[in-house]
Amino acid sequence: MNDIEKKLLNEYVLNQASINSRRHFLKDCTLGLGGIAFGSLLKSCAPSGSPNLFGGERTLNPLAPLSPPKLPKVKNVIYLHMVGAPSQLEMFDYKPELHKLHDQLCPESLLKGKKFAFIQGVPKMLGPQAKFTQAGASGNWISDNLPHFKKVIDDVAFLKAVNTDQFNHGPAQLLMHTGSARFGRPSLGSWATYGLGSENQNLPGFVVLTSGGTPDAGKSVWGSGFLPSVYQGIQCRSKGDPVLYIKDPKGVSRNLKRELLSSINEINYQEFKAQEDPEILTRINQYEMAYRMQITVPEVMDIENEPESVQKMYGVTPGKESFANNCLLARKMVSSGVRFVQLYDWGWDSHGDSPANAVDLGLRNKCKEIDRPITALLLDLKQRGLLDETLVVWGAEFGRTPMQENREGRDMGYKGRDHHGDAFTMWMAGGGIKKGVVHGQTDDIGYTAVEGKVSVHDINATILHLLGFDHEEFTYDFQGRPFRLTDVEGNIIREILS
Amino acid sequence: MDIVLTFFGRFHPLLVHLPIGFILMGLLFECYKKKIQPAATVLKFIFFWASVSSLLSIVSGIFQFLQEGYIWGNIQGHFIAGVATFVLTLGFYLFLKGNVFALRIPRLFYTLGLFISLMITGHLGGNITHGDNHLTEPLEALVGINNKSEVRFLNVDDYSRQKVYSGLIEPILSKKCVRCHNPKKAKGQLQMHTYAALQKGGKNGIILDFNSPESSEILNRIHLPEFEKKHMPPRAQKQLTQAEKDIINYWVLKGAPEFKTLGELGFNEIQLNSFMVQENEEVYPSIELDLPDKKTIDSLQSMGILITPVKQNSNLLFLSTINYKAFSDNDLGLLASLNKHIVSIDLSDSNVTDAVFTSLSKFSNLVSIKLNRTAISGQGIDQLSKLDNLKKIHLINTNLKSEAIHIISGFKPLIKAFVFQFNRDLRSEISLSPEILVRFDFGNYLLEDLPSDTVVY
Amino acid sequence: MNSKVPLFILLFLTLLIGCQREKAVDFNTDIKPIINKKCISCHGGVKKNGGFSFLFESEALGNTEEGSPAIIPGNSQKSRLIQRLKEKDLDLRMPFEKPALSEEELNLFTKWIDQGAKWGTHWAYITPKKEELPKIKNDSIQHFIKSPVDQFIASKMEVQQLSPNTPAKKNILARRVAFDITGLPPEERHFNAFMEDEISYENFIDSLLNQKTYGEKWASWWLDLARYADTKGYEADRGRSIWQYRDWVINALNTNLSFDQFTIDQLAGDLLPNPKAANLIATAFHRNTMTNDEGGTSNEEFRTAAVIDRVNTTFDVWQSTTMSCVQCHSHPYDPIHHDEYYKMMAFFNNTRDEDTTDEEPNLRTYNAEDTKSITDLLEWIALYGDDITKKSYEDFLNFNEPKYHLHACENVSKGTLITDGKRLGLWNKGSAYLRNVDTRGGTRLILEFNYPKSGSQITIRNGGPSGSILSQFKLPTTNSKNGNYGEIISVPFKALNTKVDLYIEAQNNSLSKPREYIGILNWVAFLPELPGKSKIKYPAIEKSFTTLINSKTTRTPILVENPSFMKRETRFFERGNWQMPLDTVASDVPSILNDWDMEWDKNRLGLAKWLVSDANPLTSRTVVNRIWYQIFGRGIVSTIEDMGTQSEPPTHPALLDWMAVHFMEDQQWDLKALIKSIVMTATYQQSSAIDEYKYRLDPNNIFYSRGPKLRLQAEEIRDQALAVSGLLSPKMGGMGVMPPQPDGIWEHRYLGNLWKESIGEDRYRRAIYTYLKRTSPYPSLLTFDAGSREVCLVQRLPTNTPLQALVTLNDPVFLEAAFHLAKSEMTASDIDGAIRSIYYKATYSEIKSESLEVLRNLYQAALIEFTENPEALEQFLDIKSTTLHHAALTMVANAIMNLDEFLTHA
Repeated sequence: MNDIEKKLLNEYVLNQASINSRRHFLKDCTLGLGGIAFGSLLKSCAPSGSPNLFGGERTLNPLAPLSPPKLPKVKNVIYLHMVGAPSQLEMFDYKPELHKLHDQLCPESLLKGKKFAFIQGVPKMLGPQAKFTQAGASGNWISDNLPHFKKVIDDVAFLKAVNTDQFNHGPAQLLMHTGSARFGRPSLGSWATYGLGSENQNLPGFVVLTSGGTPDAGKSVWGSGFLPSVYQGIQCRSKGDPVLYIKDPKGVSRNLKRELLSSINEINYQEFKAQEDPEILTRINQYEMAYRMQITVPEVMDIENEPESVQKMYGVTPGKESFANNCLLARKMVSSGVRFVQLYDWGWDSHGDSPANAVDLGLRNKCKEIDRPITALLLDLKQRGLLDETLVVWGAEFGRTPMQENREGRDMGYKGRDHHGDAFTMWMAGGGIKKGVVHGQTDDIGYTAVEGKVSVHDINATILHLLGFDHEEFTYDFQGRPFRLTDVEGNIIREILS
Repeated sequence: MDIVLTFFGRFHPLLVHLPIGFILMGLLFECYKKKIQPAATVLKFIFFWASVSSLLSIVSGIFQFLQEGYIWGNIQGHFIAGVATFVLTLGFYLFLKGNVFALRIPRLFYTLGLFISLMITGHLGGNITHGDNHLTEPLEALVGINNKSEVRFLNVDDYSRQKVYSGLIEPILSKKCVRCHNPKKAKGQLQMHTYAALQKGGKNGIILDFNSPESSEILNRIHLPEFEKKHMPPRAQKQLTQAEKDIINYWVLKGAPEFKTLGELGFNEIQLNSFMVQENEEVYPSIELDLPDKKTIDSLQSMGILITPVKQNSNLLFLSTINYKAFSDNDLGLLASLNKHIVSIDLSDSNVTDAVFTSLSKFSNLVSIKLNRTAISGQGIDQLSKLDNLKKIHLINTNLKSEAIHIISGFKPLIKAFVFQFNRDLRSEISLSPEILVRFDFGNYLLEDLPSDTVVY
Repeated sequence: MNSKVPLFILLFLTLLIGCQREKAVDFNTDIKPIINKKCISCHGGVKKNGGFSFLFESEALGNTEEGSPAIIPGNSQKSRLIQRLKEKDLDLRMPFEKPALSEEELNLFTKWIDQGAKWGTHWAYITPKKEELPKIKNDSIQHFIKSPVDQFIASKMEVQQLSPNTPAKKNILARRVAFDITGLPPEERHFNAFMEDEISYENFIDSLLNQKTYGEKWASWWLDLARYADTKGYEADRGRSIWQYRDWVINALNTNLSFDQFTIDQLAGDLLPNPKAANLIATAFHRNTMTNDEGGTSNEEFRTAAVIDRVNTTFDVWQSTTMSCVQCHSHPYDPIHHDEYYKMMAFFNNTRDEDTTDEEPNLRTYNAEDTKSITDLLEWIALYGDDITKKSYEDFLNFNEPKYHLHACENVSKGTLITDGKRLGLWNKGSAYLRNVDTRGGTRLILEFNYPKSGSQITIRNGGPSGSILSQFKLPTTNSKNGNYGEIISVPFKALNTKVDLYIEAQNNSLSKPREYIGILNWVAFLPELPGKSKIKYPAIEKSFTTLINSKTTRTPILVENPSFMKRETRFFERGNWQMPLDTVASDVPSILNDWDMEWDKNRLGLAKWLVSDANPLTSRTVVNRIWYQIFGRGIVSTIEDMGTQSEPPTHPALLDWMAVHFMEDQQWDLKALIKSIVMTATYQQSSAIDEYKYRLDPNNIFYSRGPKLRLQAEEIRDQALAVSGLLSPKMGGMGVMPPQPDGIWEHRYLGNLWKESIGEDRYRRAIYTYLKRTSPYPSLLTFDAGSREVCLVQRLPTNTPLQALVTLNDPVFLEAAFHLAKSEMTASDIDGAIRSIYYKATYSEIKSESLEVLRNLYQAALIEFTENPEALEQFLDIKSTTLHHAALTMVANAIMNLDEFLTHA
């Protein structure tokens, strides 16, 4: 055996036994290592550095729970993404100065060298279409579009100067959730379940709930990219089967299904004894998990088994698809041990081309749709002792311009704002987050960030930090180089960490 | 030819020890020359070989310097001291031989001079090979100078009494500026490692202008946009954080005093926030434990019980019965061998009863207990008072009695107890002082309807 | 000094010299891996800190910022590199701010420099050579060998003290090779003939290779690489009619088009001397790139993104090289310069497609009658006109090129570029300029437009508002629109022989609102005079032309090269940003690979020939490695997507090279021959049984000491279920079909739910014909690891998840298959016989007695279940009046179709 093979084989054995080269491990492990049947060599085929006792479990089930390298501040994440980009000037970023400039022509300096999605020529300035008041002990500003939110404003840390370099919906959503505006990269939820697995073995690790429509970039915003497809987000739908094909076919009772599964696994086990292929063991395990999921998924997805008072608190409408329903489901999932719950609410693209898209009309209804559910979610998490081990993130793919949109040079029918990625607002709450803090500031008309500028990569770096990862060390080898969610940038936003 | 020189140069560290040995032996003889008769002749012999060997070591030293690419600045002192030693050894040898010139210089000059020059040469030589704090480093730890400046150095209760320069400005500058502005490497001939050096300024003038502070050069340099050439710290180096820039700005505008305290200068907590040492309360007790028993872990895992370390390579364990809801009181025995390791346990939705408290009290390092939605009523919960790490307890939607609340309020280390019962208002059944009440969360938050709920725009 | 001392020194010196006999340090295997891991990220293609880079030999040995070379061959002492590696001061020591190199690595570097710092080119960039076959000593392995491939495999096995498995059982082997060649289980008659030895294993393989299903199976693999989909992608993700390309691939594979011709047709079919329709359709390979119709997106940006995707995909597919890195900087670790990326881009940057909504240029396929009138028209022109006119008319009728899209109009007044820059919308008295148009003396203007308002008149002037009128006409509002494509009219135009700016004016005073569009104009084209004006039949010919340009056709987007007067030059983008173009570049290939043969012309056709020339070191290796991967589940180079310096070294380098040369020279790029040569080897025919000893030594079967056992591909899982239950329809080709899928999957906000479930035969077509929408692919295929085809997918990572179990257990498609499989055994006399025959039909192997017993118990349990609650039987699978026996048997069939043995091929 020449040097290459010796080197290759011994490198392979070393990889399996100790060095944390994930690519070899996961791709080959899901392919074929049964673990139990073949003694210690395979048992210690562990993802973390030293051969630890808990790695063996992963060979049977790629979603087995793992511990992060650093002490985590949170165990689960609920990410609320407002698809279409809500106008921060009517919700969180109070700009009295902008009132004074209302209806005046936009100064040339703001437009020089700037490319907008739709604005052409010289637009007019549009004053905030909502009144603002200070709320809570922190005295942070909040618009009257979100009356309920005042009750929980002190639990929240605001990021007032978030920026992104994409101004089209699809690429901007991809950048926010996969760290790159191009297709093909794993989403934040996939990285989380790939790194930590999931506690509840009878539920998916990464669940996606949509209301009003799917995001512009389609399923790739919760895709697994180059990671194995077992880590992609599972879309749970409140209409029809919560997870595709979860229900038994008509006429097949539960115990008949049990009989069916026992026969399948019995014959598979005989096959395994004859052939000793560990992949068969993995398949037996997956069928058992599928059987359990058929009970646990519908149970966790059933809003009606929650008490009346809780349903009223969220303002849910069972049987329909709504953001309120999804917030209650998010809490139920997190309390049942699902690692990452991602919500998408569609309909925030207020360009002003119709009443539903006007910042003084449609936006108010949309704010009403999310105000009560989000407040209820934070209170409910708190009272169930979950808020300090869960991270709640609220955000969008970008913000909107202080100028009124005048698409193709003529005024729109209603008041609307164009896409604007330089100065929008996001907030975070929960474990490891300092309460009531405001980080970052935009100029007096909310056009550019002047202080505490935060990029998309900084946000993802902070989320990974709270989950217990160093975002520069958390990599996956593909095409010959280690890939990171935060690519080559990203600094943890320490100012909002407690 | 080149290789031979390098090869010979390599002998320098070996040859150097010969003169050390000869000279010390010679000086020893010098001290005892009265007692030991033949001292004079022996001394001459010794110092002959001492000068030959020190000549050889100088020559080999030169070759090593030429071949191995040392920087002249570093070895200058060592070389001069080495030549001085050679001259003194040769001089003393000639003195002993009775050479007329050598006799002019007193004997003591040779002996004492030799001793001193030998010590200096040796010390400097040591520095070159092993780094310049080689000698003093062990002492430093003793004295407490810790040059790795701690990122966070103020503590919340006495920060106002700290002196502004030494307490706040010096740690920032040493982290971000002194790296290129120090005695050894003074970029722009500017040193910033002491207050005096700051006052002196550098090649193009002072950086702290005391009569018109706002035009101090240090302020323009740190506030210039990053892509400007003059922006400090240079783009490639670690940048000042926003908080650090504000602090320096505030300090310079206050006249950049050295000894005034932070309180006098009116620094408030918000400004100093990111320099405060959080009482980073270690969530879990930091104790050394050996590996948990592998067989127990395997058997528990095969039952479907979830056990993972709190973080990689840690022996503190988190246990949950989320995937094995049938867990009951008599299963608690299985966990016995892990009672030191388990720091966080979640038995929610399992079949445990009040008997659980007795076995839980044996888990000495427990920090968090969850018993949501179980049949416990709080009977025997007092046994948990033994746990001196217990910080959080979750007893949501159980048959918890109000007496148990009073018992729990007595737990010293407890930070938060979650006792929300959705079908009854536990809060109304008990009366506790506000500061104790704050450690409980009774939940039952309600969202009343607002008029705006029903308005459609 | 007594005499012993010199003796002692002598001894010491001989000892010193003795251990000097060094082993020569090889750059590729010893030095390059260290450089890649520890140095190249700051001293390579991305960053060249200190002016020093390891990427190219010239840079490594050249001067650094310090003005002198860092490496002095032969003298490691003097080399700054070694000094910096050994430096004590942390600020100076390399690798900077990272742990120092280990002793062993340091020695390697020093020895390498002392031995003259000889550079080495990476093995994959050296043209493959056939080595003679390795000798085998131990004869038990000797007679295992049936082919040269086995010889290489056996020699490696021998060294590993591994012995090959016994050959697989005939039925297992037959099923395995049937799936590997056709993607379906074997047909009854072939299988039985093979089992009864009426035909040999080789004839059995030939029978499989000759079936049409071979093309369908291997087309799935190729369409993953071509990123084929039935929609445009991005936000709108509207439908796209490109299925003709899929049928071309299937047909090319079935007719065994040689791989080099297969490549040339797809990269440059339109540049072949008088290309036929098939050659044009082949070029749709690169029209699978995505088109962005989202409002607010700039066409030029996403045209550039498509061209960039074409460069990356060409290198992913044919060269296993990660060229996408080089868009922004020199390749981080492979020796490819930054500007070489743009030299490659120049090959692809000169095509007519401009990210327009109608995805022009499209090849139009006419119905028979129209084709007849086209041939008459062309004969007429040939008779009365010249060749140039004939060519112009023929090209225009085939793919409406060359034309000018009006999204390029400037200074639009009283009008706008609709939906932000896609088409020209003018109001009353509106105008716009179309800059430097070359009408080549054309006297016929052709315009495509939508939603005309009656009474709208268009005037086209030369140069500006006061220029002479070149053409003036009214927009007809009479006839209906053919689908969402625009309507086309032909009007007279004044002949011009120089490039000119067209000034387009619109007029319609009858419009009520000031900002109402008179119509939306898409593109204009110019054609020479139709000859034979004086002939009597002229008006009829003219009429047939004007009807032809509006007739309903099947369209397929293709590549068409820009004519000379529209030539686009390619600019070097600074840091890959298309908005910062620097100097122009000419088309050329990376210098590290084989040289350009001067008589190839510098366009896509030349590029295709360069790729498939014998001198190219990567193409044949890539094809061989990937076909080997499809059959064995693991590549000889295990990193299928990359053969660069950072990839895993090949496990059998000599074998890879031998097969690569054999495929090029002896097999003349014949794919079927390559596949046959692999499945004929003894290595392939081994049984896939695993024992603990072999597993411990070689868990991933690196040395192929056992046959391949693979989970079936996503398409094969569905096709097999339909095939064994007799539901599968052999119909080939045509539009994408829509088998049953849960509703709500396709909820698109403004396009609504377009999933119209197919009826009849189309419900049971092979998976390759399922309509594939990029933003929501067919769920059961997605669950079994198929991709969504936004980007070129080189390797599907197989997984094993509970969701897959749910699909095969509860998906109506699979339940229906189980129901029909059970139905075929209704007449069986006894239960055991029925189970036995269902098992045999599904797995092509006899059922073991224990399994039979388990399934009989299941059958009985089902019987009891359905007798106890008859209403369950009533609604069983929503199929009315199923008998008790049939329902129970269906449960048995469902169980069999979920066995590991069924979902994999052993």
